[in-house]
Amino acid sequence: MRRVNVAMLAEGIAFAMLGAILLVLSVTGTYMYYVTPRTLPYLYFASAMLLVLGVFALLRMFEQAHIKPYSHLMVLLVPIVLLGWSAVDTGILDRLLTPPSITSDSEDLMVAGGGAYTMKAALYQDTQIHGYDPVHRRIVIPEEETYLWLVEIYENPETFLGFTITTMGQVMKDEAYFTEGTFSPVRQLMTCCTADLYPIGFKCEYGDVDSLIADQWVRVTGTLTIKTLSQTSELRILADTVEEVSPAREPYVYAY
Amino acid sequence: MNRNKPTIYAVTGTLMAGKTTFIKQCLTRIPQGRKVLVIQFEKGMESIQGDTLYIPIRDVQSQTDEELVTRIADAVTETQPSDIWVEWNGMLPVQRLITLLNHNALRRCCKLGKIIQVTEGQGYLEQLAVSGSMLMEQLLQCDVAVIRNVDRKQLRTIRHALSRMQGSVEAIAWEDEKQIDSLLGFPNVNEAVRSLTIFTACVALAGLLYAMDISIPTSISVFLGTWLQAIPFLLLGILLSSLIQVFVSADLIRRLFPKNLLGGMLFGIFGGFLMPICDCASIPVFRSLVKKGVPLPAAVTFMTAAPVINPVVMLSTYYAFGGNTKVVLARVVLGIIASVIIGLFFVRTRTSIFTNQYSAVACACCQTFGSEGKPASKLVQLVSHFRNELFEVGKYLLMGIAVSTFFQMVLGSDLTQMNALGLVGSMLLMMVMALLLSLCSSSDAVVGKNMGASFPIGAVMGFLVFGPMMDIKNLILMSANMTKRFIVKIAVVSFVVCFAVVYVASLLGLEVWLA
Repeated sequence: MRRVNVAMLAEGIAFAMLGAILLVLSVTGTYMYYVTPRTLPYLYFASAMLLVLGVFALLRMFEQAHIKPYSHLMVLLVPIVLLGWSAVDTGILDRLLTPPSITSDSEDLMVAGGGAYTMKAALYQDTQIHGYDPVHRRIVIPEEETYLWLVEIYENPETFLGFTITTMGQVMKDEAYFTEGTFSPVRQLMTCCTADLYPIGFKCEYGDVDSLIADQWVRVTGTLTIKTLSQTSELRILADTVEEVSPAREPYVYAY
Repeated sequence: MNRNKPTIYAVTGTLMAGKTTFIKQCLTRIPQGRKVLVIQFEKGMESIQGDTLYIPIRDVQSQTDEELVTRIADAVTETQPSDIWVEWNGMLPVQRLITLLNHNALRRCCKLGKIIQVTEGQGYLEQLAVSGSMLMEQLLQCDVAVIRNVDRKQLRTIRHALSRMQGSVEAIAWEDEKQIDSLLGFPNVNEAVRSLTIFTACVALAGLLYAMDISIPTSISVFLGTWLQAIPFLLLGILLSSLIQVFVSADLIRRLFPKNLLGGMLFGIFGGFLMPICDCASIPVFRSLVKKGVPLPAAVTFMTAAPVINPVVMLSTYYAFGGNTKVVLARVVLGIIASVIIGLFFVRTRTSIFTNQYSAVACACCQTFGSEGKPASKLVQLVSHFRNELFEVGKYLLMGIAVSTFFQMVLGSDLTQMNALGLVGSMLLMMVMALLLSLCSSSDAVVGKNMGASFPIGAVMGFLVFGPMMDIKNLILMSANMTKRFIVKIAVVSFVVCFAVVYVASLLGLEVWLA
């Protein structure tokens, strides 16, 4: 029987494991916990390359070698271990193991929302976004379209003044950014990866901001208005209701 | 019964390297009473004499592995030696020796101890760099390299170079009998030490984060996000680099590449413009271009320009700044100007930028041999190069990301409290942040815009032009095989040039034009 070169076998398995992990993240969409949808084709490419290297190593596993290094496998094992740990910590593993169900408040928002709206903002012209109800002058912002609605409303505020806006996010009321009686329900915007997360959301006026806890998930409903300040003016939602909700299904929103 | 099996010491080296002499010298130091069998696969310049059991095998190439194994096994069974010394033919690939010695019939009667490469020190590294060199194949499979005719300084240089080619090898001077005896007797602990060091560093980093009250799950998430963003581009860069290394000859590059300085730099810019790659990918490609003889100023221009001016970066800048084409244009033009000036700083560089002569010319994968002694096919060379380079730079990528993650967690990106710095202060601050945060060039536009919201646009432009060219991650990536001198020079020159270019542009009205 041919003897197996254990070092080469270990290398082949490590390459194949990492390639398979990237493939699973890509196919299931869970890669979006770390990087944006724009990265998807590159991830497929990386997964294919790693699998090819895995096959190449496995084909050589009967090739005898005297020097059998292992320390170089750290290059593969560190990401494998961290991705495994992170999959448990972030809930990716649960999501992979349990079938999706429509229970999130964001899905409720989607169901409750009105029809489609065609964007006019320069960069996203003709993009369809949802939750628009012109008859009742109401917008129920679906969670994954938070960024696009923000862009559209900030670029064309006059179109939406007086509309009732419903949006969700995590409470941000840091004193460095918010004056008394104001806060934002923010979503984390990812432009490239988790290293560049940035909070985005409408500034809201609310009478009982003190009762809100930082980072708690809330759904805000209120009227869009322009607040004139001493030197400038800014868009705000005059919040009528702020209710606690379960966390959004997707952890982040994406610029493109 | 493993304890009673004789140990094999296999000695490799080119013709006239001194293999027989080395074996003879070692035999004189073997304790009395030990029976030694010497199997010589080639005729040495000196004959083995005395009480030693001696089997010459001259007709290796005409015999099958099975026949050779049977001959050796029969000799071992018949003579019952304590130690077996094998002098391998310098014209045959070591892979065949390893295949023979790992044959089940031989493993039953003896065990492989050390493989020793005996070599002349003068011109050794240059010989390793010669494409098709058997020396490299021998080196990749040996435990100990015994070097002749070198002084201490030369030995240090060789040790440093070898450690980058084959981490397990111990280089010893021919005269150092004590160390030779010591190494032949004890197992190599390099591997364990290296693994332990990496593990300790990881634990220390986690401990440091914990002590600083920084969320470890968030740190891991940031680390993985950056890694997942970088690894496809690194693989793409390594693939391009491998294709260049294996399929494009240095002659072709020299023929096609413009001979004059300006033409070469324009070629570098054009190449950067065409390649949708981020900074992680441009470094391996840069390295391959220099290895293939592209002039350093042109290659530096390519490396610094590509991450700033490629289409993906332009598009992401366009989106980040709300469709402001002036910002995109300013970033591209200032990036090109800075890259050309940075390239010019390397016109007079004559010394190698690589840590050893070997890196400057060739690579181990191109000297891969099958057991038949034929060079591997181009496809195998391509995959081997790809694999070797991934392992070589992959560890530096991990280290770079770990360091930049640490800075991101410690520093954050909130600079709103520092809005009174003025143009110079804010530019310096933003450029240092770009260096430390090591963001991907395809995403830094949004971060730069938001982070520098309270600063003059010149500061943001400094971030956008300098960040993709040079950051902590790239510097650590470069340290895989480039000299400290080159790395320090390019880091300082890039910083100063980018600062100067953006500052002058600001004085000339950049801010007004972009407003």
